[in-house]
Amino acid sequence: MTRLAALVLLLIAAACALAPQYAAHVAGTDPFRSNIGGTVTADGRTQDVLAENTEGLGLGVTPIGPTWRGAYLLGADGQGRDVAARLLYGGRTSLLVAGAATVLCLALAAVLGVVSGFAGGLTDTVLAGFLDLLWAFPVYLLAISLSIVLISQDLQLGPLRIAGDSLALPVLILGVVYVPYVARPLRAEVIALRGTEFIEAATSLGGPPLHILRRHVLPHVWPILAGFAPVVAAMALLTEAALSVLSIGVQAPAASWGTLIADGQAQLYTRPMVAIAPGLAVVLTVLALNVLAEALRARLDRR
Amino acid sequence: MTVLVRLLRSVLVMFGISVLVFLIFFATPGADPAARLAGRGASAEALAAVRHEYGLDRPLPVQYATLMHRLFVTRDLPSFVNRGQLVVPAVLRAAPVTLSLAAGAAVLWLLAGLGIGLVAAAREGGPADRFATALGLVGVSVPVFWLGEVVNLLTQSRLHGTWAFSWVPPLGYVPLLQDPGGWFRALVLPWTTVALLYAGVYGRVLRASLIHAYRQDYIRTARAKGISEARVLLRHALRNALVAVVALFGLDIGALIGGGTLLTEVVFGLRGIGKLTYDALQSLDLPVVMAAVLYASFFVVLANAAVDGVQAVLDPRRR
Repeated sequence: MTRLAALVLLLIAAACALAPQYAAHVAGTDPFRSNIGGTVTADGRTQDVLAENTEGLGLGVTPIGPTWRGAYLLGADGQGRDVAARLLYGGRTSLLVAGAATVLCLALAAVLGVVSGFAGGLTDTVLAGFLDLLWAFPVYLLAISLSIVLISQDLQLGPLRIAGDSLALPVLILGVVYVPYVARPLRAEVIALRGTEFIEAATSLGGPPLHILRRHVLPHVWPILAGFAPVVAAMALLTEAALSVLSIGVQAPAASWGTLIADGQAQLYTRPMVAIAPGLAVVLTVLALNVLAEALRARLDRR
Repeated sequence: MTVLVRLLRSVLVMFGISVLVFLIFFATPGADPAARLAGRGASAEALAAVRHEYGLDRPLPVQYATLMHRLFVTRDLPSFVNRGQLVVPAVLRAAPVTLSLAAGAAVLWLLAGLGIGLVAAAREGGPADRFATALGLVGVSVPVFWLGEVVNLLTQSRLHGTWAFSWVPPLGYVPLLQDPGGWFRALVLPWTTVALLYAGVYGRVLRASLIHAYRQDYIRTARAKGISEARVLLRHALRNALVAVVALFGLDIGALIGGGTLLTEVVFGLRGIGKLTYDALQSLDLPVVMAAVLYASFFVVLANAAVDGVQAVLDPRRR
């Protein structure tokens, strides 16, 4: 199970990494340019990518469905763009955003959790209070508040300016909202460590706090962080997709699995693959991450 | 913890959340909050109106107090995108839809979780146990809005002609008091969609704590007293196992009200707080988003306090 999950993740990541090659050599189209008047030849037949509707009132267009080969493998979206190629490009964005958010989240949580737990006193009271507050704030509502404010206007942090459509924004938001999930248990663990005999011994021997932190506390912190990594990545992927569906995650022209699902909503009944395929990609990736997380947890528990 | 302390804590958390929301909307560096609240391409009059409404030329604590007063006391904050719409009444009008969705889904997943947990605990490693494990793993891996779309695709389009789904009404909400049957039919698929994602996890948690409970001394004592096996299960094992389920439920209310229902409403066309928020996000109607976020988070905090209370009833150690 664990091997399979790791393999699936590797395959998905490799496929997404090869997105430009797929677009150039297999799909043969630019997945970021609309192809409204284009045609495609399959089975010796030439078809419009976007066909006029013949049913009902005959209004609007229906994109070409899955051809199951080469160009338009999974069909086209509402603007005549290759769904399969966009799926791979979207995966790059989703995986990149979730990965970066995971790193950011773990780094922030490590600093907050260790400082809070190790320093104790007023520092701990303030930091732990802040973490409790973030914890009580429903994740999606916090993410929505941050996103809507940040995408509607650029963020200015001193000399640093982050544009409203930058990928850094979803990374920042996803990285921040899950901090309490990791930092709170980490803090509890550090506090428990501080009470152990070997740390008391090191302290009473006059070891400087920084030395104790490095030699005796941090080695216990890394495995905990590693155990959280796949869980946070899984949550970040799901939340990225949700925010993008709400149009406040990844911003056009960039595409992610979430924005692809949102794009496909209009054609759900005529061309379901546009929305179903990116959703399946999310499910598969998150499932693999969760399987890895369970295996990792079992292993860490045994130690 | 006494009830009073618990309530005081909730009030403190609500205060903290309101300050956080206020700071996010009014003090995020980058741009004039008036321009943000007035929406894209606002006229000079609209900007002046926002400055006046929110007292933006005053110090931050005064702005905070003004905002809270208008959100919770006078409730007359206007939207600048939909002229004339008052934000708070719109949120309150949408609340029954969201509550119907959340409550029904919760009942369904708790019942399903209870069933799965009981069957899975009866035979460790049996088919039901493995099913619960698989369902739990898949449940935490599927985006709820996507599952909703798959359900719609099947029940509204592909399989709508078959006997199984011909009863499915078009997407939308029917008020309970107006037509209870219609209310149920309109909500049963959204409920099922949400419940599917949680039932497995709850079954797993209940299974684990039931198995744990059966190893305790008090079960041996209860059996030694000669009471029936059903009574041992219901009065002793299940009652203690439910503590873990209730604790988990407390955590999930936030994820449900503040996330799951939001997106489920959008997919199923239910005009609740989630759909209201979604529409406001599309048109950058920030006052609506702000009000919806604050009211929903406050509701979550209060619901959590209620769950805490239930836990205290179930588990005397927490009193």
